[in-house]
Amino acid sequence: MHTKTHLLFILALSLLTPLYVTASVISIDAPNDAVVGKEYKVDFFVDTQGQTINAVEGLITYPTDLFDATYFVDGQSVISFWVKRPDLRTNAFVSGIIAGGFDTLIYPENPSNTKANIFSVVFTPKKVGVGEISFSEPLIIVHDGQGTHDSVTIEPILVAVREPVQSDESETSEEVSDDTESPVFVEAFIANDAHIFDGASTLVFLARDTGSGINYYEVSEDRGSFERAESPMLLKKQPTARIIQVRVFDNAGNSQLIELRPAAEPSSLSISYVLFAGGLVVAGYLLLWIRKKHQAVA
Amino acid sequence: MTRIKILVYSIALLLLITPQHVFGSNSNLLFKILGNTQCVDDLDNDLDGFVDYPADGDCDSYEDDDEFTPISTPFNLSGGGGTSGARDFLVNSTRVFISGSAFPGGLIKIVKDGFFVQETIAGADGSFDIRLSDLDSGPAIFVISAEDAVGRQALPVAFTIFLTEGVITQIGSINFNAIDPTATVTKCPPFADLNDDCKVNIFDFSIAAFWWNKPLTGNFFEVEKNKLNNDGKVSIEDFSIMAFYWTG
Repeated sequence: MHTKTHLLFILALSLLTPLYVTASVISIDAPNDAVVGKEYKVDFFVDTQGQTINAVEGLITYPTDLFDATYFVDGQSVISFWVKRPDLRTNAFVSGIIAGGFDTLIYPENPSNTKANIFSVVFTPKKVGVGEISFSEPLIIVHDGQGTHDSVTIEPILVAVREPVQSDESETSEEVSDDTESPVFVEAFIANDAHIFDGASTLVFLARDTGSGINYYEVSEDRGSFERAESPMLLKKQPTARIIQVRVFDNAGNSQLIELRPAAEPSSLSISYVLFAGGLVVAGYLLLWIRKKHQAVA
Repeated sequence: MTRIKILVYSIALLLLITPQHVFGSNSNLLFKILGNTQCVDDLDNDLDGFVDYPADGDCDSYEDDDEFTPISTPFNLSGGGGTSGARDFLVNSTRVFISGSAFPGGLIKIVKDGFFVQETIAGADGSFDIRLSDLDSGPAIFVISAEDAVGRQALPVAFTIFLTEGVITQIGSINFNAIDPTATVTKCPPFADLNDDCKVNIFDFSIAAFWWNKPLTGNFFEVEKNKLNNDGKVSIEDFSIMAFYWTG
């Protein structure tokens, strides 16, 4: 009897086991070999375990005495829009969203793969040693329209950096610097809205680069000098400049330029000039007509 | 007793090894790599007035890479000899063909990676077929929305697929669930539309990004309260709400 009760208890427990208790997994993948002075690309992946998610954020952590973080690469990322791209020189915090949500990346040629790249970082190893690369303080938000947090598991990696040897010289492939394709602008426009920069003219832009990833943007107003910029950007010239140029660079140095020429509304000054000029023409014709009439009478 | 024991242990074991997740919206979709064959390339390679399978009878299937009718004199496009000239027609464009069934005469809209890319009207039988070309390779997030002829919206279908350079990927069997006949026509997202243009897109994202990590001022308090998660700040949770209601 006791055995029967015990077995029924196990059965009931099994039935109560939630089938959808999952945690998204952020895994980190990199070659085994890190060599001093050579680009070392580390990929950060998310596997949602079937859950649909739409936002990821956290801090890229690495031993700064062993590595310089050289490039942030988002060319193969599922993140649609970055709330915060990391400034690798000062703060490796990253935050982005996936518009429409993401549950699994379908590779038609490899259906068993479900994880997707969220970003990659190219490090330059500085000296020999061993250190951990990880993603700390992670937040993953469920695609439910309410901002619900998913539980997250992190799988960091331990990297050993070694001195270069002669055979390393023949390996010339550098994933970032080999990219020769230019980035492509997907959006660039000027808009005004009371909720942003107090309604002043705001420049919004976005480019994508499937190779080495976007590095930075520059903006020039009315052929002035190009200055580094982030979208959304308050235009210096209000209501707007006549020519706005936005230039984007990828991590390999390829660039793309886009030019916006906002339709200039006629100012009151220019209307005055047009009226004045029109008046002169009419007056001229009138004088000619009077002169001809006088000649005819004479 | 032994039989009961075996039975109970078997059921328990079965339940414990049940997969912890199943594919959701993607489970009923059909994904297929078509390659970049002549019978799917949107071109009349043999100039016979018919394009691709099944319109061109010279094509046996989508996978058929020869749209040409066997002819005595090989057609040559580039001035050289042989049928190889026909290859000049092939373009290395990365493409996606999306087809399925929605609502007769209803609108189908496709958003890729957060941006509207194309829309079409479903046929009288509800079927639709959309072809996208010149896409970037790599992961692509598609959100396909459908409404019926009077504008009532069905739940969108979303999926992320890896597109291979120069390859055509066919995504079929996108079948939308029936719309509740008592549903009302709603054109504007209930949340996350920060600039009140009945869309949630990059401009709403830019407005939220402007306030990210900043103390809220002015009437943006009310906007955050009514259209985001009402916690008095703009953070990742608000952007998640935006991603959920994204229209492109």
